[in-house]
Amino acid sequence: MTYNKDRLRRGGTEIVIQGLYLMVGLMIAFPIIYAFFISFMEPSQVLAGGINVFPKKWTLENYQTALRSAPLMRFMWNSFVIAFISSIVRIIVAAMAAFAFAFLDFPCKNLVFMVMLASTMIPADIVLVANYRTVSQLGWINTYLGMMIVFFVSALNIFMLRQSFMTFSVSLKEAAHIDGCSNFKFFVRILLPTNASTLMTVFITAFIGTWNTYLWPLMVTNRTEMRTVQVGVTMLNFSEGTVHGPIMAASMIILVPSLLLFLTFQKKIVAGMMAGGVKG
Amino acid sequence: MQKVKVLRKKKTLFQRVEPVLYLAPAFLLLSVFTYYPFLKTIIESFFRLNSMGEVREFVGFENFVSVLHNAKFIQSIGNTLKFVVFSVPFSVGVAFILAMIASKKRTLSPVYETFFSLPMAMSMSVSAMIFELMFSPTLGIVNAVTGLDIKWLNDKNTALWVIIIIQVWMNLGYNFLFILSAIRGLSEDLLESANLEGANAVQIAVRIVMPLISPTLFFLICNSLAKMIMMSGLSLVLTQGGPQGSTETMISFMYKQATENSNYNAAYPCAVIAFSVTMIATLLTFVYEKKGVNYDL
Repeated sequence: MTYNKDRLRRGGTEIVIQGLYLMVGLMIAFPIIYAFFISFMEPSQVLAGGINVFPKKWTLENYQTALRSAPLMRFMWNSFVIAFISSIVRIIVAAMAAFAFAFLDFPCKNLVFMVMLASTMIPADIVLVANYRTVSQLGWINTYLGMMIVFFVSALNIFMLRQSFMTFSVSLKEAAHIDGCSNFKFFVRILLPTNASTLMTVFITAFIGTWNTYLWPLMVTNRTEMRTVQVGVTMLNFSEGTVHGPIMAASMIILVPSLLLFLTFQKKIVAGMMAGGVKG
Repeated sequence: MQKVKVLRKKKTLFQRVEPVLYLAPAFLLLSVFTYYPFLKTIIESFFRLNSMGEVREFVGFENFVSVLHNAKFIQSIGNTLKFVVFSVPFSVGVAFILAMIASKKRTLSPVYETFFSLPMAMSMSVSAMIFELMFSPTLGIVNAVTGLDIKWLNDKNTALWVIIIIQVWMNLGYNFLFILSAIRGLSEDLLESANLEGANAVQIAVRIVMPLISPTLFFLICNSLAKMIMMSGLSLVLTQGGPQGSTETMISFMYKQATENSNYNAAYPCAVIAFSVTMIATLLTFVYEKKGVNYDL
């Protein structure tokens, strides 16, 4: 009897505790939920102010306004092109370098590796102005290439892939060579497919990071049609007074790709973070 | 076996250059967009440049002296330090509390863990737009719930605090996931026995868990220090450094000097100073690491 009561009571506190944690979770996610609800509110309700979280009447008006009055789709396309291509290039560049560090012998290998890693000590913001000068001298202002080029390489990704490649047994590689497999063939046909999971992690984190980036694309573009979503959303102009609803709607649209990727690949992203301290 | 060895000793020309081919793209890009601009920034900060960015003459420390006499830049250093001093401990501290309460696996763990880590997926600009509405003086939920009548981002006494709150929120997810995995890596017996000996939750968190996961905390503090000293986006989006320069940071100041005024004589020394501050802060945390971080386990 007492045992049963005890269990019941423990079950009760367990429910209370979990309910409490759920509340804390909702509080932390509140800004996102808030923006979601506001984006479906009628402009008059947004303007009413006060404690005003849940839409009285759900409407798509804000989404229509956002899509009609701003080249939001163009911004999305720009961001997609930049994030997708630069992440692909970044994987190829990083995998090639990681392959050399993991499997090939060359003079001063450790020194070269240290020099590569030392680049992580230089914050991107420090070299922002000098890179801007370079890109503008090359005539790449307002071009995709200009926006992408600084995201083509990441020493941390090279490091991560090298760690992952090193778990591949060297004897297997030698066996492949005896069978007449060249280094390049081994790299493309055997090493990359067996490390597909790590490559995927690098791609997703790189994509989210580039999709979310702000300062560099702001600096190297000044034409509206070349802006990325992150820059564009801060510059939306709607008629005064009805501005917040459409901005929240635009924010929701922009949020969907990175949020979906994050929720789908949460486990992979976390594993990648732990492996190499992934930065955007 | 013999044959393989002989082959290895006499590398063909192709075998010699092969590693170079694999490394070339990465090092070419790193050289042009990391090492070269870094050296250029340092070297050209000692020269006078015209508005086209062309080198005119060597001036020694003159650019540094002049930027350090600029009251706005001094203010931006102060703002940056204040921002860092509050946002780093809060973002690691709150994440630690969240990780402590989430550490035990429960039925709903996956749900609230996702909520706790959600800010990680948010971009700076979208977060800025949402919080701007929340802190709006007339329409925002913050004034409505608290009954306050504060102009938040338009008041020089509160603007930086709003930015600190946004930054702490944005960092929560990342820090939470790191600390959670560190806590879950600890032995359960240890926490269980502390529990049986009558230690309360706070004692367990501060006296037992914190020292044990200090390497992770140290990593997060180092990592966010460097990021926070470089903060500029929130200021540029929300306040343009205002009101009255109260949210100007070192990098937002540098950005404006470079883009609005084409004043590279100020922008380059700012970058060098910001980099030096980051280095000093990192060194200080490493000094502390010797005393406070426990790698024995």
